[in-house]
Amino acid sequence: MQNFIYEMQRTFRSKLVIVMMIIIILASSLVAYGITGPGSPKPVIKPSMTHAAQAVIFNIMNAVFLFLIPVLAIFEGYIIYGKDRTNGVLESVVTRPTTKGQILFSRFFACAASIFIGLLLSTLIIDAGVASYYATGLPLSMMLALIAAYLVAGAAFIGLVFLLSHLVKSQTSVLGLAITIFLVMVIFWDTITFLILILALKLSPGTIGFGKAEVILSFINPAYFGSNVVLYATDVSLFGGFFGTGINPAAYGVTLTSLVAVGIAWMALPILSAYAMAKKFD
Amino acid sequence: MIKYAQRSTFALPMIEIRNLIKRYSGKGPAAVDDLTLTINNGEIVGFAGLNGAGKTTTIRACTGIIYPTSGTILIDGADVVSQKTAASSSVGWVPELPNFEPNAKPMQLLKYYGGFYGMNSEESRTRGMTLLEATGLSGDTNKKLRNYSQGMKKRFSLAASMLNDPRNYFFDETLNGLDPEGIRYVRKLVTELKSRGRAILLSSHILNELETLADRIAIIHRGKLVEVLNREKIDAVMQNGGRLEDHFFSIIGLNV
Ligand SMILES: Nc1ncnc2c1ncn2[C@@H]1O[C@H](COP(=O)(O)OP(=O)(O)OP(=O)(O)O)[C@@H](O)[C@H]1O
Ligand SMILES: [Mg+2]
Repeated sequence: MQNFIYEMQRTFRSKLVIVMMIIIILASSLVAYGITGPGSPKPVIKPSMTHAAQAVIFNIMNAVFLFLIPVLAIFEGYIIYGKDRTNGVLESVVTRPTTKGQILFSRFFACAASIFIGLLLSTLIIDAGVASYYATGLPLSMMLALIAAYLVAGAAFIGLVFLLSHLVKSQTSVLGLAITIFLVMVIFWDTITFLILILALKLSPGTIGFGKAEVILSFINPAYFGSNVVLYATDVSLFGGFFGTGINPAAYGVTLTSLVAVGIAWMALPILSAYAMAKKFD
Repeated sequence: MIKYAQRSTFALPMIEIRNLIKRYSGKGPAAVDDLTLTINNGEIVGFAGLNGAGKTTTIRACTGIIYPTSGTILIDGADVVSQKTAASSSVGWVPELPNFEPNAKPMQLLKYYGGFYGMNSEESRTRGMTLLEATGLSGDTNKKLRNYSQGMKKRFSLAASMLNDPRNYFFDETLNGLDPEGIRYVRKLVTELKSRGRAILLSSHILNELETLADRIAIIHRGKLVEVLNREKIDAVMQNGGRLEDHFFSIIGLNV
């Protein structure tokens, strides 16, 4: 246990992890600046926070995190674990008084913690920006939901890269596959799912079946977990379904319990599979 | 807490490999096939075999890098799989191909490794400096490991293996790649470790390297342990001008 904490602290203090946290915080500070900065001059009497305003702000935050969190998570997973695992450097650590499981999980938790702290601080910064413009800040429950949702996405992508590191042998394959995952799951997911629905499943846009299938496909992608949570919480889609389905999953029977269950599964399954692979094939 | 000077189970056989089998894949012969070997306190066992015989596989299983398909490996009585942390606290390993974080400097890594033995930064630094001096690297502490030569990396892995003064050592082709001074150093080191009661498994495919150094020589061929020569047998083979190498070829049934 002591060595678990030792390894976790050491990872958490590494330059890369700290830089990642700073990037998340900087990006969100820009958003906060956008809300409260020159674009929106500070009113003398602060307007009260409306549901519509909340939805706008959460959608903007969602759009930032949707790209940022997977990129940073993938990068961290690669530098902190994937690289060392595939180039063999990890072996000189494994032979010390620790276990493969300890190294795997301590590094995973350190990466996830950095994403969590980055999310927490950025949300607080945005909230402070909002509070300087509006009469009130953002609702706490929604801030927590957004943080939790993107912690899920972050942990899932970190875990996926850890898992990849146990599936392929070379550094370049891990990196190549990680980039492919990013392109497929973040950049082209909307296009890919649209094509699958239209061409393979022969569903037409606007029908109930299409909506249902879109929601299902958005749930098998951890990058869109945050979008689903935001839609579920605000029931407003700003970007015409560009960042996510634009469909409130609640309309298709998704409940809070199922959201939480999917979230836990996305956090746990990739990293547990990575551990199982190490146990089985090393 | 693993303190680096744990000395409780001195009386047990230090390295005990029982019926080790390692298969890398379902089909084909096992890389190591039912290997049983004990290395006692204060004993140097040479581990000889052709390329691909299974030496590195055995050593990697003993250090916990790979898992045995079946069989047990005990280090000072601790099982390498189920009691990995305890087992590893008394093992020093020098890999066949040293591979360290290329962007790190030697002392950074030694401090990092030291933390796993409960050594604080200062303890690791002092101990590390002594070891870097002993391995002839004290002039290269400001270089990153990426700028080390192959032999320097080997010297560094020797230093890293001795960090906590473990009771058991696995040296995989350690003489290979070292300059004459390095070879002499390792020979002296191994003898000195032996005199301090350490158990040492030293793999090599060059039998000349082993014949004067080893107390016993274990010969592995196609994953199977084919013979363990004790000192009397080694001396007997060499007595009448015979060569260990010829004996080796005769038992593995190879005519060269
Ligand atoms: N990672 C691996 N995956 C699959 N097979 C492997 C792996 N490592 C080793 N092998 C196989 O296991 C067998 C034993 O290899 P090993 O490296 O243990 O031999 P060795 O005795 O150390 O040889 P050398 O003298 O060349 O170092 C060989 O047939 C090799 O092809
Ligand atoms: Mg080898």
